[in-house]
Amino acid sequence: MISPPLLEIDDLRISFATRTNDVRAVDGVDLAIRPGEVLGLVGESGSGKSVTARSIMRLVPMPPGKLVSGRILFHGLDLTSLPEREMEELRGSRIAMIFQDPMTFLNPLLTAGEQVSEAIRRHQGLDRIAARDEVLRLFREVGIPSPELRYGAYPHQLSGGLRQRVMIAMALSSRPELLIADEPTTALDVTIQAQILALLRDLQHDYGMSILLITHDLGVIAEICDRVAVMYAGRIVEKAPIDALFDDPEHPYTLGLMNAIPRPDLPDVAPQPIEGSPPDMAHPPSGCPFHPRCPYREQICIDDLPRMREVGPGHAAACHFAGSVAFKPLAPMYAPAAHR
Amino acid sequence: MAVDVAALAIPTTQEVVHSPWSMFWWRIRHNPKAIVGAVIVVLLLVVAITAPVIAPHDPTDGELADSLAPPGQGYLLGADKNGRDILSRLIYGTRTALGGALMIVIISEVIGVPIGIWAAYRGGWVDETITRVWDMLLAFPPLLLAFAVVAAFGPGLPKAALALGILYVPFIARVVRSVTLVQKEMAYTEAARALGYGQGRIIFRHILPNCVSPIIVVSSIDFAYALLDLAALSYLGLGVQPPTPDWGTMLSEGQLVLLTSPHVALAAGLAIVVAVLGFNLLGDGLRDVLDPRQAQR
Amino acid sequence: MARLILTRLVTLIPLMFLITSIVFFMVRFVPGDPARIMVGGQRISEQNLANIRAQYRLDQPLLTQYRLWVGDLLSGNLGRSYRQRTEVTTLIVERLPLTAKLSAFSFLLALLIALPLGVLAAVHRNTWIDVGATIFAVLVASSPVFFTGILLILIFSYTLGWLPALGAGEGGLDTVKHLFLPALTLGISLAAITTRVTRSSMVEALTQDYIETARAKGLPARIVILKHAFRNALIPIVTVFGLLFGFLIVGTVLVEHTFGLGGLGSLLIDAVQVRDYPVVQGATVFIAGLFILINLLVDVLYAIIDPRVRFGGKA
Repeated sequence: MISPPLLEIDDLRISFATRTNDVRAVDGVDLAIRPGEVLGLVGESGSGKSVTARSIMRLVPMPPGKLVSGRILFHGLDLTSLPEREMEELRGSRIAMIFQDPMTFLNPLLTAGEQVSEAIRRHQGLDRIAARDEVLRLFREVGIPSPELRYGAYPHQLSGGLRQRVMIAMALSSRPELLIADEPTTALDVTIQAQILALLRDLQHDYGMSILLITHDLGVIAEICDRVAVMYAGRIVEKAPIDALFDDPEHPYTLGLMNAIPRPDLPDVAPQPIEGSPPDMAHPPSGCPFHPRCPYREQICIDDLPRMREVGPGHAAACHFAGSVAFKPLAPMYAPAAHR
Repeated sequence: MAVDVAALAIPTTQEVVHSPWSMFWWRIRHNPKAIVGAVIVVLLLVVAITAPVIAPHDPTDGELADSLAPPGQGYLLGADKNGRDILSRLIYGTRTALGGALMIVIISEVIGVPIGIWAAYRGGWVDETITRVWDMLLAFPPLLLAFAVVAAFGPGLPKAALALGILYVPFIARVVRSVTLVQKEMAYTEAARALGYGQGRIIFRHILPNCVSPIIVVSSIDFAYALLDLAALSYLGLGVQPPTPDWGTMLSEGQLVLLTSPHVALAAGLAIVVAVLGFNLLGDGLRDVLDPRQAQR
Repeated sequence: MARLILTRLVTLIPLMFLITSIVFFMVRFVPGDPARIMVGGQRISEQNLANIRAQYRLDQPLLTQYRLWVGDLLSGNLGRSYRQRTEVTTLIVERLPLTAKLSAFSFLLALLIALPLGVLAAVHRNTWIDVGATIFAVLVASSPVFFTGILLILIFSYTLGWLPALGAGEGGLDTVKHLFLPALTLGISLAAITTRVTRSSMVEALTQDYIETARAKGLPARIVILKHAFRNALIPIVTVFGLLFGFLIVGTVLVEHTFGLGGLGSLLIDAVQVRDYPVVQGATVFIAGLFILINLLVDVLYAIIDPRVRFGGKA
């Protein structure tokens, strides 16, 4: 726990200009990822998690996006002010990304092999023949059967799980230090989801890379993450090691997320969705952005924005009552020990 | 090339929150295409209607002595080979152009709208074959068949307009058929049937009103095509016959004297361009306004 | 692929028959005596009129005429011109090379103008390049192709004296010089329409998810735009080109007339003007046939570009 962070996000603020207002998508995010760590970033849609992830690789269109303030440091290098040429060098080689729906995120006119080979040739300077061998090796590594056959296949000819494996192969081709995975399993069948998560876990062990896993699903987080950051209304509201999060949530929103999960293993426990809906980030609420939906709300929550408060080793929450009020989930959750 | 490829990934959307009518007017007012198009079309109509009043000279009577007079001295846009005032001929030509195009559009709609509705209601293989036929015909240029018609029946505006009108039927019939198909399945048509309303009544009170906006859009665009096709026929001597003033025939006369007196051809050609432009813009603009799916730019 | 071609043929051949039948029956329903019409205003003896009727089978029952005519078509006989006393087929073959050169030249120029312009307009959306391209496209699209030709003649031939205005030249390089203005006329008219389609289809392609993946791989902007976006944008563009073939045909006919070129187009127009119906009939049938062929080629092209059309389903 003493190694310097691989990636540091420092008070990041990003807003989007619409016709009428500016929407504050990311409103002060502080995050750090250490080498070899799997960090989960969890939140509802509109919480700003995808924008945060994309801003690391500068994939956010600017305009209409605008970097209001903040820095993103990769090995101390500020990515926000890097020239585009150098950013292109970094993308796909030292930092890589996989996306949610491989059907729409793969080019329908190019074969699977070609799309992975393209990445290899771009960053490793191999010729087509050598690149092809490397692609086949990668396909085998990510568990694609009959790689020679699949090399010449087009995306629409592959199943969802295979497509996602191709995306993973593409991203891993240059052995990135950081892999950003934006909802990698959301578009897949439940059985395939487990396979892909297991694959990511294994690859992470083999390659020793860090993973930033974006998702709205606490179950997915439980499978492979070491640490978790919970995001709401463009801010981190809680961060903790995974066991600590599940044993002792210190923010009402985290509690709400846990209580909202259906628990087929506990038939007597009914899921309890969080009341209300996410705030309009063009006109965010005063004080704590969660207060309109929070069952523990007091006057102070409406007046003052809570700061991050340490409640344990590596565990902090942005709630006025963190550490003083015990937030007990309806039913306990555990992270499987398998990936430790 | 400092190109921000990322910036290209976001389509711009419009957010409007008003009642349907004020939304409609708001969109029209903020749509430059529709406005410019409408202005041009209205101007053309005014010119056509007030032709006898505003034309400075008689369009068919020429002073041979003034043959090919350049613009200025009594002839604002100059005179043609027969000494006729070009401006007056252009003004009267508006009547011919708009009149001819109107004939074509009306004919195509009088035939096309019923066919479209009928095909949608009939369904089955009748509908299938009809749609197949006109899908194929859509790509085939009407003008070519119009040539054949003229070769068979002789030149002249009425025959050409009739032929083109018939050939334009697929454009409108297709649109009417789609709208009818959708409307047929709508809840209120089913309710009307359940209440015992006859087919005809349903068509008039429910189907046709919904066809109005697409028909207007298609009509405007058809007008533009009609103007072009008619001008082509007249240019080739197959449409409007002299001495009736017509932009297409003026253009062909103008080409003969292009070297010495370009003003003849230029005036006629520009008139055509402006008219076609007006209807094109109006049609495009109206489509943006009336189409519930906002087009992304 | 073979199945694709076959299915398209099945739909297109009836069209061909429809069109040619319309053309066939039209002249035979004309009020008056077709033979007299074909002769025009010329004075002619009854005997000669009777000869004409026999030669063109006008004295036979309608259906017999049709049957014989279809038989002729299938054996490549397109009839015989009255005015020129030659086989229509011969006339067509004579004039085809010039028209083919003109069409090909125009199409090439259209591509060279529309594709780069459309891509640039999409990439530099809403800048002066985009606005300028759109204005140009809208103006040219509103101008009849013969007026565009006249304008070009005025500018490049009469004012600047760079290029010849009329005729087809002596052959070789001289013909190229003579064909340049006509091809440019037709080319920019085609380009006016296809630029808009290229632009919108590029815009659409650039908003797709796989573009984000391409960028995330660290590919430079040029490759993302050309290899990933443009290739996908081509699909709607190719469709439009297919539809535009009709426009190309009509445009070629008009341009040949405007520039005094002796190709297939002027053959048709001249025949229409003198009511030489067999030529009109034969030429229209020929053009309809070409139309079918090109449509087929476009479909094949489609299949080549888009693997989803070539093979649906999973490997």
